[in-house]
Amino acid sequence: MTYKSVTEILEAIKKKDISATEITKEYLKRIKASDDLNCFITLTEDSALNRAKEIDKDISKNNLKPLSGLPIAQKDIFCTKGVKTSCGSKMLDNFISPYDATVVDKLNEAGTIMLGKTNMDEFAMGSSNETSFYGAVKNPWDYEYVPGGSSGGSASAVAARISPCSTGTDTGGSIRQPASLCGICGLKPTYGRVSRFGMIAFASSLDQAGLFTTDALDAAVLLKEISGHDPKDSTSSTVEVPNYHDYCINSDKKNFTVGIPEEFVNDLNDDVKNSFYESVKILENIGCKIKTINLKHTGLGVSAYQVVAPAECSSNLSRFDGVRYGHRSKKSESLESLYRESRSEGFGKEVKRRILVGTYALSAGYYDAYYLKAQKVRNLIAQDFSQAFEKVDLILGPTTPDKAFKIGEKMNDPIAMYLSDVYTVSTNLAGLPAMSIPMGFKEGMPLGLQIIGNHFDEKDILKLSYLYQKETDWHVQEPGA
Amino acid sequence: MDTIDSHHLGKIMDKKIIKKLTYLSKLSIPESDIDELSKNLDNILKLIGEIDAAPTDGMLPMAHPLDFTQPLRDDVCKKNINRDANQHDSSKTKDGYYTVPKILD
Repeated sequence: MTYKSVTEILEAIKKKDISATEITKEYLKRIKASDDLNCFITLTEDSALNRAKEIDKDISKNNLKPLSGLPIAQKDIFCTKGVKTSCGSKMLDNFISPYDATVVDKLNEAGTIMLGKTNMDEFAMGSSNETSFYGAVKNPWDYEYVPGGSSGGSASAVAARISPCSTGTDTGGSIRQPASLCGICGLKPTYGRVSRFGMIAFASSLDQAGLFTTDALDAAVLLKEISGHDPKDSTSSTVEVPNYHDYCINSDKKNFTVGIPEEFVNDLNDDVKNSFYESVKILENIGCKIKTINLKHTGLGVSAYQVVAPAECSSNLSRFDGVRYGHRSKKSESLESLYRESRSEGFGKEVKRRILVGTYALSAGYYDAYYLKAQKVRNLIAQDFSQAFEKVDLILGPTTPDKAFKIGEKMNDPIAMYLSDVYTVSTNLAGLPAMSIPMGFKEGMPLGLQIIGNHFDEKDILKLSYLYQKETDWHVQEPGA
Repeated sequence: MDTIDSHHLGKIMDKKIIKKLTYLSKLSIPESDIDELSKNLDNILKLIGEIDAAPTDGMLPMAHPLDFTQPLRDDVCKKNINRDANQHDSSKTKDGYYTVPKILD
């Protein structure tokens, strides 16, 4: 099968060159052949094939939807009716969701076929996919390396070409960092662009659903389908959803003013720096005007994030008490011990650590010093971006400070792990959209270029990515090719 | 249980503080893991302590990334909870209620 991208698959199905059943069978075969990557927690083979048959029937009646017959992998953080939704945790190992997340619902409505649920860091807390109850996911470029996290299974699956696209979530970089480490596109939309209903909450003021694809145009096609206001999520935005794909193809815009923050490039190693400035040259040749800018509080991003995110996590995860759903300890003799034992047995080390840090930051006597202060720093960071967007259209930098690290390398050093998100967390704190696209390799492992836009300016991020990908071939390179 | 007092600010995460935090967050940590946890939490506090020097005088706290009015849905009564489906995932229910260990003798 020669179809490489979402748009090629959709075109082939539309022309009836291939059926939904054939394409679904092909991807299921690939998934099984790549079982050792550990990308999937649950494979939904039977329901995928049944759905493919239904879609083929619809297609035969010329009832074609925007994404009819497109196979997709769903991060296991999205509730899927009748299918296990574990969030990578022992806590939810027995949880069968009674409803669909809005993202899942919209993708189903658009005609996609779910292949399965992808592996992830437990409750999306991690940058390597090593905190999953279901074991580490491997990077398809080299199985000794992490794929990044928390959406590691989704990223690895798209990079390995065992799914043409997948969903992810991004609280501090959990789409962009794995996209960068796996050499694919990862789009984190503006906070509120995509509904969070049915997406298991980690840090509600930072969490945002997004996408993995190999190609920017594919992300444009998918983003339109998952975006828009949802009455079930009062933080979802009513801002109109443009046709991102048509804008990428038809708009003449090329002369973007692109800002490079000094704080993003000052400490880069030579390989990442060289790849980055090669990309800058390509953008200049396209017609972009490059400006040096400053986001002077970037260095405080990880610190502020590590207060805000755990604080919200400690509150959100208080719902897991062993009573209504999720893991219930057999040791419980009293209500107090039911809560304590169920939570202690159900949560892994990193989740517990973050709950404790969040509880500390919200405790009497510490709230002002940590939580309130971090929220003020968050405002400083957001103001840096607002001021920058008065001068530039888009902001550019590397997605991560380096290539992927080895499995096990940072597991005993949470600080080193947290710092791998240094260039991604600030955009979550400010609620901005951003995308990572492949920009080269270091020692055979991919590197990512991050493009950050102003609120609801996904279309220009996608347009610039599309223009860049017309001039480069990093995004079509495959592991093991 | 005592509250966590402000005199601990900036101090290391000793066993007493960890005990209070685990009590508040309904977790228990095996004794054998406390030293490693204490070291990790100390390092995390050092990292987050870097915000202390940030120039935030006059800065408002930012709880939400977008400055917009929350749209509210229509205040219409709907039947949207299916008790049987929602209780399907609980291992302990009786007559439509969740059961827990006795809290009163």
